[in-house]
Amino acid sequence: MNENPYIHLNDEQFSEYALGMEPAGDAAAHLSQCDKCAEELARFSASMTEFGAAALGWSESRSPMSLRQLGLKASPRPRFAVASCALAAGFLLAVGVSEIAHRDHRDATDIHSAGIASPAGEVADCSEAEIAQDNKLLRDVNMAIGEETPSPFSQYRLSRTDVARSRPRMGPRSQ
Amino acid sequence: MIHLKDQVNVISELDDIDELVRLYWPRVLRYVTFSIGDRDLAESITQDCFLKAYRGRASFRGDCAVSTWLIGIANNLVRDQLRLKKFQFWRKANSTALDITELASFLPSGESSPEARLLARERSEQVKEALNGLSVNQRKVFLLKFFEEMTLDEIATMTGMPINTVKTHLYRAVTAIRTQMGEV
Repeated sequence: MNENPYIHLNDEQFSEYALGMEPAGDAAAHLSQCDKCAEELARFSASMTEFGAAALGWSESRSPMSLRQLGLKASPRPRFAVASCALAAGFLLAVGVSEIAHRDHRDATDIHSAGIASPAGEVADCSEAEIAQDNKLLRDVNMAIGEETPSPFSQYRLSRTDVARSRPRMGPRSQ
Repeated sequence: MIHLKDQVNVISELDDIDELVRLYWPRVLRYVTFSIGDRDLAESITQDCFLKAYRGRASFRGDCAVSTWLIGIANNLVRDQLRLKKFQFWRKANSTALDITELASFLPSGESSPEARLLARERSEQVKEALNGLSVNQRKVFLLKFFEEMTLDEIATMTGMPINTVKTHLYRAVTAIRTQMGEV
């Protein structure tokens, strides 16, 4: 056996070998001759490998869910929740407005289909003959009123000019 | 340097979320479980890690392996979790640590004798006990080195520690495990 108890690998040299590095100095020469250090290093490496493999085997057994399931399971972030609420409110508002507009349009359609013409349609449908007829009617009404109704001034034998002169002035007086 | 073709393949890989989980879930879960010491919480964090990775896959530059990128995300999530005071309280009150009996059932058996399997189980238990006694940073760099087989430079980049600090943590971790195994 090549064990030399006086120059075994120190902690730093052992750690460097364990980490896959090459220690400086005569550590390599010692390791090639010292069974104790070589065995310990081999045992340490085997322990790490076994432990890592067992841990990986365990985590492989914890079979993950589908990520789509994970996505569904994940709790939404607050900002997403706010955005979702805003989106839902906007959607409801849009649906409400369109429903009201649709109802108004439907009412108008119902009225039109019932034979009641809208004012705009009435104006558009008026012919020149009808307009002339209406104008003539208005003139006749004016003439009838003008002839039959006596003027209040004629009762007192006053003309319109006299009434205008007797009205007090509201402007500034001249001295 | 990563070629464009390889990058396209990586991006396609990231787009297939189920394949991403199938390939990398065990490694990420292993790292998180032994980093945080609680398997229930580890599964939750691993789940968050994959969701975060999938949502942020456009930010993956392809300058490292996908597994390294995922471990980096998991590492940040673990760090955030460890900072929470409620976690520290909860860990004391209701920790669901991985049992060595459960772990031992996954030891590679090969054609070894019952005695050899018993010794392997005993060694694994010693490693696990030693891991529990390490500081957070020592455990982190140890797992990145021995589980994820990262180089010291990669560990330093991921953890933000100077490389000499990484080395120091690793030396202490190795010594602690040797002590637990009765070698020192």
